[in-house]
Amino acid sequence: MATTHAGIDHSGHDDHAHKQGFVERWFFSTNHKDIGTLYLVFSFVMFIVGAFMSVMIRWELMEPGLQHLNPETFNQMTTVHALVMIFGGVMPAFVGLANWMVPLQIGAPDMALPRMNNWSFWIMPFAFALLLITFAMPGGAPAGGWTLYPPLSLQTNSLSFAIFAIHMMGISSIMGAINIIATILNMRAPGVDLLKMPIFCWTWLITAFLLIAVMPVLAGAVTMLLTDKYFLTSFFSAKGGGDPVMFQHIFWFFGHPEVYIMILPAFGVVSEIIPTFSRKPLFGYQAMVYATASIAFLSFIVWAHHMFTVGMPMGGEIYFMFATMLIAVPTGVKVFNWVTTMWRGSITFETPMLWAIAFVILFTIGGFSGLMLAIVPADFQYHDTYFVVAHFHYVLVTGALFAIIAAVYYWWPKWTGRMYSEKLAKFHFWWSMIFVNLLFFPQHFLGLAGMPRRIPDYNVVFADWNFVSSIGAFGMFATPFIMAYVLRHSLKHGVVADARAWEGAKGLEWTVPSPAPHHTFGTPPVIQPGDLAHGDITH
Amino acid sequence: MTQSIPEDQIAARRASARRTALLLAGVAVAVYVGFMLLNVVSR
Repeated sequence: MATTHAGIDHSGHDDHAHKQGFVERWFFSTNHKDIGTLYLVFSFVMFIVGAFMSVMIRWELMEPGLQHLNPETFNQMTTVHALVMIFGGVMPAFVGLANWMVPLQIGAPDMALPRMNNWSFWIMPFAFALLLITFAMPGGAPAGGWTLYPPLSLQTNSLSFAIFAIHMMGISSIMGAINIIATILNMRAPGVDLLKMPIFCWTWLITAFLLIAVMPVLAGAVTMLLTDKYFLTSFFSAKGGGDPVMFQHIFWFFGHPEVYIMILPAFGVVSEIIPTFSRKPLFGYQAMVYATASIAFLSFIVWAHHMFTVGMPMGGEIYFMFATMLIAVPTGVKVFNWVTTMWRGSITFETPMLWAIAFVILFTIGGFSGLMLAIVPADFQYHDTYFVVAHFHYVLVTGALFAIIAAVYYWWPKWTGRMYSEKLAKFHFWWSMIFVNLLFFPQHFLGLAGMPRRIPDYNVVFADWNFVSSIGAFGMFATPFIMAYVLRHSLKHGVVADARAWEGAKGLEWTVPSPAPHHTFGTPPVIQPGDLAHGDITH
Repeated sequence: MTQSIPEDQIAARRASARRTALLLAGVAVAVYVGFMLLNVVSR
């Protein structure tokens, strides 16, 4: 049995938080837990903003014809919905989880660069303020799609605002990634070797390298877009001899690794939860690490599968098709290992486990539809249809978002010292399961039948499934509010949580009390047998 | 149960973290600038 209080700093700083005023604590904080909380609260707000836009989109699409939004506003909604959900919702949520959990999992007192940590968070609200105020500008918000393809994006007056916002988000992400790498490589407690780290730390370490490699590429691409619009260059402007297709190549060289930036930490979360509630060690720990690294590597060499229809040489199409299919191998290793971890485990179905199992099943559906899209001749049929919309929402909503929710339910007792009502939390889960599938599954049928994406009006033959999908969207919009109620109820009425809140949980974060003190591991913990989830230590 | 780390080791870890951060920041800036220069040159 591991000791609790491992590594807690008793030098008089534990109650430091209570002496800080509101402004000092939340605006000037350099504490990884406070900054993690800020990231998570920010992403929650952004999820609601993005979800509101998706409800507006689905409201318009509930029946054929133009009812509620004019086409310009519709295009602005689809563009900003994506930017908000990707850069404001999913990415900050995972950075928030990393801030909270990485130092706790490796026995570090804080992130390696705490002041930079504060800065990387506080850039973001300004970035999104900049993006969202474009709705109030003449001409409205950017409307060329989140991919910002020229020449369409160059026709938007607010492009410069969006680009500056993207630069700020990129700087924030890069600083966050640098901090995570510096922390993991330099701050691990003695005994926490790299191949003994929790998988969540591994997936984040690899994700951070991806971020540093591709965010500057996006920044470069949008800077060139800016100079094309305002400084008379013609990188992508055909009228000056530029090549708009080149932008697509550059964008997707960033964009495909970006998909893995949003899903690798989700893999890490699920790899923490499934062993806990199966009461078994993770099956194939090292294979999981190598599979994560393989996925990250492959993500750099498959970008053009997003643009098969632009007209590229047959050899290129065949290469990108097979390279894309190769990603199914390490991803399959992961799914196999999660299932094998559960196999003959002593499984219980607490709320985090339900979300994790749903992740495995539904993300795999998104993976399979991705394989369909990788097949060149099929992609010519599916490209720019609702099939693509269904595919990436299965990956990003039932994949990334479900993992974020699973993580919140899993680590909530550690953060707050309170358990939540399983009954209420399971209601939240089943409500979400029903409506998310109602929302996105019919979009496969719509896409296969030929309904194009990014249109506010459509042929009446698509009416029925669009109606069903919109009902799903309205139901899904309730889920963040249900979750907020569950968590508020927990804070007020929740049972006090033990240090090891879940019976099967292993890892250093469960050796400190719940709630985790404001300062932990001020002096490094002495690792006891049973403390680590992987690669036990003996003394 | 905790263990103390000597002050010089803590300072060394901090310095190492700073070096890692500077190296990574340098890589990010180099990718950004190099990438745009590459596009300028290839025009």
